[in-house]
Amino acid sequence: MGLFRTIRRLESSPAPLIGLVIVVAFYGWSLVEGILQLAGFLTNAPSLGWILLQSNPFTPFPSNSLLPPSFAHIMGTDDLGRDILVRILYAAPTDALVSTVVVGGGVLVGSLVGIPAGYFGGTTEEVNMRFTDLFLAFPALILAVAIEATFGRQLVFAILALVVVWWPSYARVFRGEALRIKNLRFIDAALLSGLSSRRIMTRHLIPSSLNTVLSYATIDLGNSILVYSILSFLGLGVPAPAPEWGAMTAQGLSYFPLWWWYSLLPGAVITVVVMGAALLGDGLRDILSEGG
Amino acid sequence: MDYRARRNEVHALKDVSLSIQQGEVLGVVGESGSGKTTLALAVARLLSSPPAIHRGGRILFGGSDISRTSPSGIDSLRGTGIFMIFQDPFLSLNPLMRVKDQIVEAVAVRSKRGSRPFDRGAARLEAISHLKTVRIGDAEDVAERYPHQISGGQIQRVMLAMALAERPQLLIADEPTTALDVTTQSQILAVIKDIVQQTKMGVLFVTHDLAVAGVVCNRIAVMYSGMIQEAGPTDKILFEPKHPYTMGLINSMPSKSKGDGSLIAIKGSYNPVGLEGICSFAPRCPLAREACQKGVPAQNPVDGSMVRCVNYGENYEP
Amino acid sequence: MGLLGYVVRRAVYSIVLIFGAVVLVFFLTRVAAPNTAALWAGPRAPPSVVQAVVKEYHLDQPVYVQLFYYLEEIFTFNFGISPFFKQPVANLVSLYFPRTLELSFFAMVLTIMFGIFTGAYGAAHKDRKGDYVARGIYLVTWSMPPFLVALLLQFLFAYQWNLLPSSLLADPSLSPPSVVTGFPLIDSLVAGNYTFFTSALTHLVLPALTLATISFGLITRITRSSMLESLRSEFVRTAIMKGVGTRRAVYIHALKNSLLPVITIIALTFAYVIAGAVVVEEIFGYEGMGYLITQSVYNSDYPTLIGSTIVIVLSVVVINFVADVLYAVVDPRIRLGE
Repeated sequence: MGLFRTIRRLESSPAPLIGLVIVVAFYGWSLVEGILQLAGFLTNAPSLGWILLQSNPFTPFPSNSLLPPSFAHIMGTDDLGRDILVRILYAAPTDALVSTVVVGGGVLVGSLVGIPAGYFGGTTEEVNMRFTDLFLAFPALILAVAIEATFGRQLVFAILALVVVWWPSYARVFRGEALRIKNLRFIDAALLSGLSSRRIMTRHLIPSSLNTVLSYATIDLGNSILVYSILSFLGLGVPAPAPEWGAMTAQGLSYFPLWWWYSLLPGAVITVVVMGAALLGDGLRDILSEGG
Repeated sequence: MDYRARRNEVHALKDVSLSIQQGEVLGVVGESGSGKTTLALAVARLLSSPPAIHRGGRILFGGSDISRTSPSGIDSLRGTGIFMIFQDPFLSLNPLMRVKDQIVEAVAVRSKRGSRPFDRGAARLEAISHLKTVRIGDAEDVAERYPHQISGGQIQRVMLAMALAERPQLLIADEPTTALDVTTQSQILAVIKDIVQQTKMGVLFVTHDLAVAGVVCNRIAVMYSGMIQEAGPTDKILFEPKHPYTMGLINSMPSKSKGDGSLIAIKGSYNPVGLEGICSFAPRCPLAREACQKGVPAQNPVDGSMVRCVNYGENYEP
Repeated sequence: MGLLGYVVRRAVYSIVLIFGAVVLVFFLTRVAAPNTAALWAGPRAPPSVVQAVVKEYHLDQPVYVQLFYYLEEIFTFNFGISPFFKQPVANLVSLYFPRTLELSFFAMVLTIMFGIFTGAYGAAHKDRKGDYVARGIYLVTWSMPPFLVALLLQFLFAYQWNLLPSSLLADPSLSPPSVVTGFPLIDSLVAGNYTFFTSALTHLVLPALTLATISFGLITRITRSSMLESLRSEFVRTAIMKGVGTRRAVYIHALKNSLLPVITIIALTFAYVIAGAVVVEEIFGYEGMGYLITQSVYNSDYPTLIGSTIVIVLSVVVINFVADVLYAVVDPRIRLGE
């Protein structure tokens, strides 16, 4: 199924299309803003990071503190008078980075463990899958918290912790796919034509299983943002004063419910992005399963 | 009865007119895609809508049109009025229930409708007696088992035992022996014949195999492209086929092979495109001529059969 | 072979899994961890305390000797002394864990009941209004971070309508019943303290509801899709044709079969609920395991954090085992072997 046909099919139903728009908007903005922030960091000119934004996300404006949403401040301001929308937009690249690295890492490690397990069976399967079960016994969030507490509260450890808790579910998906595809006729044909196991796995099993994994991974992009936001809510995300969706909600907690926008709106933004990924992933699954 | 595909509508059944008497087995024979299973599901009211659309036509059951009955009305007809046996035995029983409980459920439906008291112990005994009637040797043992523990042939017997428990006026059997090996198939066919004799139920027997239909059916209707091409008594269809399609089907039966290993196949394959307004078999017909393109042939009565072919009179559907 | 053989095999497997998980924690926290002794001693611990920790945890010994002592500690439920709470972690866990179990139980009952109902209802009304409503509900609950759900529920039920208390285990002016089982609800019933019981129960509602929304979406989705599959399968058509009525065919024959995949994710649901408790208990000031974990994170109380993690992993494995056995009881294909 070609990319174009997939997109044309997406257009015919509203829900996945809404998801597509949300996901593209989120990652598109994050890419632009992320490049600017990186450039600002490398050239020692951090103001590049908010060149597209209405104001500086770090500088306090005590006279503006806790203003409700208005035209000047669409999502209101926080206790230090900083614009909440600006801070949300500034924080987007972090979540985009975390979700892509976590899901990408999960898919990579999961396929390395799961595909041989499903394809070879026997001892390989037994060893790989029991190893997977071991990690699945840990509730994801709690293992991530323990890893960060052990190695330190840094973004790189947060991401590492999430990859560690993320890959086991992909190992299961890939194993299931490898089992299913292994029994299809075209693999027999490839075997008979003398392809090696490694080539069969890389040339046939991985591409064929990506269909199933694609929709699963799309939904998971949102899910990883959700779990990361919980970590940052607990103070295990990027260190202050850098903005962070989950952390912003946590900071707004003490101003709730009187200054509701402070904690509610960052939470709502997380919900919208996660929902967009779920809508798109669901739509992809329907389309790809129809096509297959 | 039309069937709607994703973008375009396909007429799955057109101008199908059939009747089944008590104690009669009517065979509907055709290739896959001919509409025979759609017909069976339509009569059982199992077509889900959407995608299926009922464009017109009636399904008369004992004088009333059940194609328009409400869903709850049709529920009260199912079981004791119409019962159905499906093609794949391994999917047709609930995997979580013992065989006996699934038959007892049928017994319960019948006693409830007959306003008779229902007794679980008696119902179990009745279930076992039905299992014996369909010639399951160790009936008591099979009754206690789960579906995954018995063979496909045994499951189809269990389905027939259920039919016995319900005593429907009409039994629909959709390719009930296709998934079975040849020996089991002929045993099941024998059981069906016995049951019909014993209970006088009418049977709509759907199959792709003319030989199988020849064993159990009193009359046979040959379907192609959602239409009945030829219908008549079994002997006439098997030994004096009139429609070129029926002849083709009979010639392609392995038993008709000339002994040199060759089979006479019908050329080409069914393709529904471009068949509007002409004889739908014409593109594959060895006898096709200009008259076949003039319209959809009407049914001609010939020698006790109905034949939809211009070779028996150039009449067309309006 | 039968059910018993199956149960024994799963039990052995669970024990191996627990052993593996405990060893994994050992390597993470004692071998791979940077500055192990300082980590276990707690923040700003004087060198003498760090030295004591090295001795206590045998950190100056070879790894296999450490592992031996570590396993001995774990299986005697000795998780060390908390530098923040200044008492054995085992005591803290035995105080806080029953409260979380109580909360999780209600959350799981809620999520499973409503999840199955919504999923089955959606499937039975596929592509009609009921289905869209069911899908809308699960999409929203799936996408909302638990802290946002908690916030909204607090806002509506506690601040806006003043129906339910917004935080704590029970009314602080009431004196709690003496500890018998550790479960506040059961203990207050045992003591005949119905005022406390009612107070604890009303304090349980909002956190339980919040926790329930975390896995509600998952259960609804799985029930809906497996129900759709069941509804398409021929045994449901057989039941319909038997004349048992569409309702019985759908809600007895199809639903019972659709519940099998749901049973397999009960353990996963429990893991979600326990993990969710970390945030939810923090927000509601409900003093259970989640609260203990957040406190230990905020105060760099490493022994408490790791002890709590191990206890939670043990409970997830046990629930997993129970779910496996339940599955076998329901499905004869597993119970009776191939």
